Amino acid sequence: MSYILEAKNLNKSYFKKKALNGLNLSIEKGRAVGMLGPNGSGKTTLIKIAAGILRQSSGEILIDNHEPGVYTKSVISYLPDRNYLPKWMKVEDAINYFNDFYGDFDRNRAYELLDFMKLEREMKVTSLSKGMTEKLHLTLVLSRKAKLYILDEPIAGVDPVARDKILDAIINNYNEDSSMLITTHLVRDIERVFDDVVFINNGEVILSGNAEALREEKNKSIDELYKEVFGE
Amino acid sequence: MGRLLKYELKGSYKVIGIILVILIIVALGLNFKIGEWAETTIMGITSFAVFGALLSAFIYLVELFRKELYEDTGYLTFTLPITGNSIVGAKLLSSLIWIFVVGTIGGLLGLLNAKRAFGPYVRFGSIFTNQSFIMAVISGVASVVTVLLLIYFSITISRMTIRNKKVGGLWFIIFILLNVVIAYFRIKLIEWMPYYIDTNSWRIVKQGMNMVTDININGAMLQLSINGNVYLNIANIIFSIVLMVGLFLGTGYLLEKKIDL
Repeated sequence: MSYILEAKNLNKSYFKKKALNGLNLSIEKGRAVGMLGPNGSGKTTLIKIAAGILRQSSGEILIDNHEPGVYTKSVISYLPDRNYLPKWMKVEDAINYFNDFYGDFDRNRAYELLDFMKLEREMKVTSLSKGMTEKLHLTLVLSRKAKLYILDEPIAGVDPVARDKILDAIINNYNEDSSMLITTHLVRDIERVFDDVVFINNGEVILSGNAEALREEKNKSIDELYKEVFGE
Repeated sequence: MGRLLKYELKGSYKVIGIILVILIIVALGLNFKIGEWAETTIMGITSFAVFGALLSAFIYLVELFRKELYEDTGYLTFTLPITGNSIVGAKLLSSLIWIFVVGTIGGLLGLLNAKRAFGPYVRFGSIFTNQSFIMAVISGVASVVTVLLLIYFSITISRMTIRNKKVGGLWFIIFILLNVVIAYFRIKLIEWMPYYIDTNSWRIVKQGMNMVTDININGAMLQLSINGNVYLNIANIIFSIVLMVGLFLGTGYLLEKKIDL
């Protein structure tokens, strides 16, 4: 079995606080994985280590059999949970930027997605609402033919109607050559995308498995299972 | 690196443009006051305006580097499939290009005012062919490169040490400390190895510090003037080159391998 991401005994500490506590996780190629957990459970820490912008304290993580670095950054399409585009940019500048740096960027796909998201190329990044900014970020990230998409809270700031459109865009973009790792609090909205789910708490994986198998085994939706696992 | 340099320049040209427009308005405004105001006043304010423009541009360019480490745009820059050296190289080159542009335009405006204020007493040709002018340009470029790299290195070390952006000023303390250590090392170095290039004859000579009439530690090249001749310490030139390369590679390595956003 080949994995796009393998984390073994991964630890990350900030002084006394342990963000990751011996986390083990393997993501098979071609799967869409939902990583679920409450605030502070370690989801974003794991994602940032995989994206190559945070270093683990100990343990190992491999992306497509490589340690995080220049190569892994070229095969990961990462959507952070914040507005990372410089203020001087227009939408077209952001498209050009991605096109210049990522060999797997498909400009035509980006224009299709812009139309789909109802965004215009001449819009200034600073003039976009929170929801529009998220749509632009998704356009950029999904216009790449990456091996691994890492989406950190991809629909948190958009209205319910737009959420469905964005989820459709994510599903349409997804193919068997690529894998996805998605974190979200909006489990009910997004669970239809997941092949597998991983529940994380206190920096550890506490439950994982095939989404459909878990639904059948527990006779619950993933959203209900989430509430059961993390409920008081 | 070229691609990132393109976006660095694209993202910064507006602010640099505003600085230049203000400088040009001030300098040309002063030009119209020649004959009305004293020449020394005109040249004093012109020099102050040029210095102010250079300082503003410099602070803005340093801030662009700092923002990558403390603001959310770092999530874009540091997830690009490029090396840390490429990031440092693009930041350094774009800063040098803008400092060169502001410096050149400022210098020309200063000379323009000087020519009108002092008339026939100023001979531009002799300034540009003067050996000490050429030495000053080379030494100036090396100094700006060293100072920028020292600042980049200090900001990077500061970011690695303390993640809180509210204490981001720590880099300045690190920068001052590094400067003190480096200056001390330079002085010791020339004491240990007092061999110089005489820039008049291009021969290697040995000089004692007691012969020195003027000492100029400008960050990269340590110059001594003895009876008007400029001498360059060989060990110090080698140290300066090693320092620049070390700071460049060190900052690139830390950005690529050690920075936690």
